[in-house]
Amino acid sequence: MKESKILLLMIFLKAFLNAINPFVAIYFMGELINGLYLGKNSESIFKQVYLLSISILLIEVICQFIGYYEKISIQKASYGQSKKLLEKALRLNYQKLESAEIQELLESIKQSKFQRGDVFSKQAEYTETLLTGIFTTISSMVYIGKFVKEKMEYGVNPGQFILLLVCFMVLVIMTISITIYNGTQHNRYVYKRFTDVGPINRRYGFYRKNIFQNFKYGKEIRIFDESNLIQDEFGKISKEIDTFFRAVGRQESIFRLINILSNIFMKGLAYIYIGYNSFIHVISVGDVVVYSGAIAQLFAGIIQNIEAITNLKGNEKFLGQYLKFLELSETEQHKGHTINQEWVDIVFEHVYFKHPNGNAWILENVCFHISNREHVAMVGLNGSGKTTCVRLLLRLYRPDSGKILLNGKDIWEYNLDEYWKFMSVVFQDFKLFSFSLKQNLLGNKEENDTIWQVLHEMGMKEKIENMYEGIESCIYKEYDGKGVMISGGEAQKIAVSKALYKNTPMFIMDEPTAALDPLSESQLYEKVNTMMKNKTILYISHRLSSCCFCDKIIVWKDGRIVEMGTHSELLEENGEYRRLWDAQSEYYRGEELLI
Amino acid sequence: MKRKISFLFSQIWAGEKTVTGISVIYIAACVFLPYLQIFLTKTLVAGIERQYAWEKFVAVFAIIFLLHLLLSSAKGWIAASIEWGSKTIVNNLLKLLDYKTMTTDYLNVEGMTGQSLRQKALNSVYIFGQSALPKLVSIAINFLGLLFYGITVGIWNRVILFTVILTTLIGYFLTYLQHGYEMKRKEEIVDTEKKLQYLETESFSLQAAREIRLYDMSGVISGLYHRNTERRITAERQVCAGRLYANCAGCFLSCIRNFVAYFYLIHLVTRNQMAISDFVLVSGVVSGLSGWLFGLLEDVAAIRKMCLYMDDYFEYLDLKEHDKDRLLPAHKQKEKISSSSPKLELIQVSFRYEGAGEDTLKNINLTIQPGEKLGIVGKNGAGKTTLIKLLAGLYKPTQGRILLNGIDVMSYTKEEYYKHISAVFQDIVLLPVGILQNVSSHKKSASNEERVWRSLEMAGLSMKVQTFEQGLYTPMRKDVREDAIDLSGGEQQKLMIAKAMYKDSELLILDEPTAALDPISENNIYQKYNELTQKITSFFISHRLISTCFCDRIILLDEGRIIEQGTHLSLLEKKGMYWKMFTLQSQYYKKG
Repeated sequence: MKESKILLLMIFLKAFLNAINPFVAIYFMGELINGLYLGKNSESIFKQVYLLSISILLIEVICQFIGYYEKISIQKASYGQSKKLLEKALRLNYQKLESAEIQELLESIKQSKFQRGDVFSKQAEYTETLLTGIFTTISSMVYIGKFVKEKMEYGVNPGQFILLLVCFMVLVIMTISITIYNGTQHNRYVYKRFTDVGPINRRYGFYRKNIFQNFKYGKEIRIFDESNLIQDEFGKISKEIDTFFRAVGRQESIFRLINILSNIFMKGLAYIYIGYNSFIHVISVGDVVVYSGAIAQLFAGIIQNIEAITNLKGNEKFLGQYLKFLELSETEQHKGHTINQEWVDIVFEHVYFKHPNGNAWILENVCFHISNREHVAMVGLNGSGKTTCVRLLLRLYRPDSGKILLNGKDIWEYNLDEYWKFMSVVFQDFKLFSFSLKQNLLGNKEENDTIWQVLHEMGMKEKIENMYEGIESCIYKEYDGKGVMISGGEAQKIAVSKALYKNTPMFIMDEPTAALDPLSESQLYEKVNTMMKNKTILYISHRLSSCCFCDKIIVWKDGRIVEMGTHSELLEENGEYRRLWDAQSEYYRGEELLI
Repeated sequence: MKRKISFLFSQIWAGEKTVTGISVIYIAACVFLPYLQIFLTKTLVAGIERQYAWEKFVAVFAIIFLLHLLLSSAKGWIAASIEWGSKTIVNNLLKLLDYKTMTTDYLNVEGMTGQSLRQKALNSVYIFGQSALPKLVSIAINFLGLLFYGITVGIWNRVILFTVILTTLIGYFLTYLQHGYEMKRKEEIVDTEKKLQYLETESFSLQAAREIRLYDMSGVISGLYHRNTERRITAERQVCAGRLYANCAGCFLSCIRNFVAYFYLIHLVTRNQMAISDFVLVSGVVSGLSGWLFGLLEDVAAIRKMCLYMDDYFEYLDLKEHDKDRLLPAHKQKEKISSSSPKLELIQVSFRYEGAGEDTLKNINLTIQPGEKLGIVGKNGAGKTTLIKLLAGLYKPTQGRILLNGIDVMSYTKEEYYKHISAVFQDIVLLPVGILQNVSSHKKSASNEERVWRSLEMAGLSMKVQTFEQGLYTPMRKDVREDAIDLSGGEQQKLMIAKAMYKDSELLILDEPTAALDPISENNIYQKYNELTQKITSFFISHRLISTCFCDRIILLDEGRIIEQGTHLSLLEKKGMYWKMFTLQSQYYKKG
């Protein structure tokens, strides 16, 4: 709040000085010329020169200083806003964040930032222009008042004067209305273009992110000689975007041209009028310079005001995107019951779930029970609902109907922070950040013996100790150029270590073994099973070999649970599980006979 | 510097001919407009001073005024075109960058060094590309303005001209000093901005969002973001402070310059050596000088900075290609691959990644007979993928030779060699274009529809495609375009088979193509491959031993060496490492 007040003050002062600056020069110039014209003594003329030079120097230096503080304040404010946005994204309800609506909103915020520039700096810039315009208009009005007064003192025909005044007002109002109309039309057009270009931006983003950035795809490009196809397709898209830029540019040209024409036309009429008054000796030569300067400033000020207002209005729409995101309601994290850390008893009661825009149920009437210290596996084809089920259990999604109970209470009634501290999970597409290993493993907590023990168990201790700064070393290069590159297998071990270290009563492994070779896979399973013996574990897999040692196996098909039981029970049942098992173990059983 | 500026000119010219052309008018308008404004006032004063007749007064005034109108309109009109047109230059610059990415040695894009160079180049394009045209135009304006005003002053008075030149030089020197300091901070600023960018990207990524929530990472991320913005602002503050002092010194200099100028001019007027109207003109010109000067200094600094960013761009574009080491001239290559399934030999091949302490592949000797199906198995990190990339021509051996039908593959150009290779990899990325282009890998006009249908038929996907309203023209990827259709994981795999079949090359590489599939789809896909690769020399890589059972020969890699090879059965009989791995993997199934 304080920051933004300082910023406003800076903008205000800068605008004021910007507006005053030309008038100082105009004023002294007038005095100088009058002095010269009237043949005053050099002393008094030089006094004017001193005053002129020094006041201009003073104003310029002050402007420089204010400009410096203003620039820093704008940057601070703009980063402050980005931080708010980022923190919002970090806290926002996951299901909402994932929704198409919010994803599209974020994408368009990102794109307009590149195409238009930072929306907050723009806001500051336009505000300053507006204020400068207002101050300029006021200052020039003072001069025009002075002109009118002189004219009155000289003595004029009142009827003629009123007529002139009316003409002048009409001209001013005309300029204003032309500029306003022009500005509104312009803004409407630009915003529409920015909205229209949305789908193109999405494709553009795809090629940038998923093709050019994705070095793995580079193999395909080379081997299949796809560079022509991609250049052609991407070329079409960038051409469309270029066309968009040019169209906006053309529109902007017309917008500015109309403003300039109306401005200059008015200015010309005013000049002639002033010239005429001077010609008939109503005003002095010096005053010609002063008043023509003042008139020029007046029209410039009016145009500036209106342009700034239309720009601010235009910016409002883009600013609105930010505010819309910032104002999204958050999950209430700190309310709710505390959790009994000693006991895990999970019940799914007729749970239904579908995506907001989808028609089909992703999960349909799901019921199962996990009791304390039970080791449960979920198996089934890809897309059968296992991962969605895990996300529901983790409170990333909320069921559309039905209940998920933990120790007899709906999981949504617990304090969310605490609930998440109660669960650890290794996601299928787990993610390690390019921060230090310590931050990845421990967050902001301090290093301790337990983490080293876990790393030792996972076979990563030595590797990490040998890194350039031990556990403080960054991994990957995106964040820190010094970062250590680690292999997929090592990343997985770190991800599992992280979950093991969290040491929660509930432990979930969502198919994290897809990239492991058989030897490492069996080692990992053995390790987790022994280390987590006294915990409740949920394994998700399509690899049936990981199920055998579990107390209970849940078989999924098309969003429903079709079978449940132990390995041997399910084999005897001769259903879906049997079918999957046979498909996968065909070769091995064949070999058994041969050995 | 010269190369960069001329490169920018050629890019701007190539991308925006009209805008570049009219920029000349814009430059002229910007130089003469302020002068005209001063001249207008001078004329007003002169008219009164010399007691022009009213008609003459109006006529002279009207001419100047019309000129003013014309130049202002042109200026406003063109300014907008330059502003928006210069954004298109970014796209042009990106095109060169993307072309390099797609055609450079694969090691250059895959290696971490190459990737970070690419990222750096990309960031810099957005910075210098957008400002290139406006900055070049602006420096021309400020330079010409300074020159024009300087000459105008010089005509009237030498002393003033001398003062102008002297203060200008001092001003330039001060800015030069300050600029050197600013450049030192540039690295730091760019580094911090990169970090902020990374943090923003991760905060909005869904994959990271799950991890952040479950592992309470939000504190870490917002903490790092805060720390980096602080650093960025501190750096900015220091840079701006330097600039502030230089600018203030500039203000003093221009104050001295104005003072000297006024002093002399008034002196001239009081001695009747100069008309008051000329005084108006010259004093206006002198006070306008500092504006041009500041502008020029700022532009020089901005262009220097731009050139520094361009270093990043060129560093990537100039990444070394190894193609030059090829032995034979291109025209001799056509004769070489004659038989439909060639014989491949690896002779004492070793490979070491740049900067690695030891070889990833060590002294590999291997001969692959025409039409052979070779399975490659081994633990993670055993060197399977590296071997495959060597065979695919994506890498070249550090030592040893690879012979294709007895001829060193190094004598082919990359492009020539790739023509003989097909491959299916684990991660599938479909392009948001029609099925036709996804299968043929080429533009619509360069694709053979009949052949695409045949390939789809072989892959078992033609029935599905026939049900689509737009048939082969059905676009893929619903996440990118509204009118698209999404295929299931298994169907996408089949599309990849069709793609490989369409290419119809002599060597086929399958690099764990089914690792992400469920067992039933996996079986289907493997049966398909087995059936389709009867006559093709093919390589199967997998860590699941069952997938390679049907191969004619299996090689087991361990720590970069071939430690066992033979058929599935002979390897089991050996009771070595292969047998051990196989037993481990199958022990669970035996229970059934």
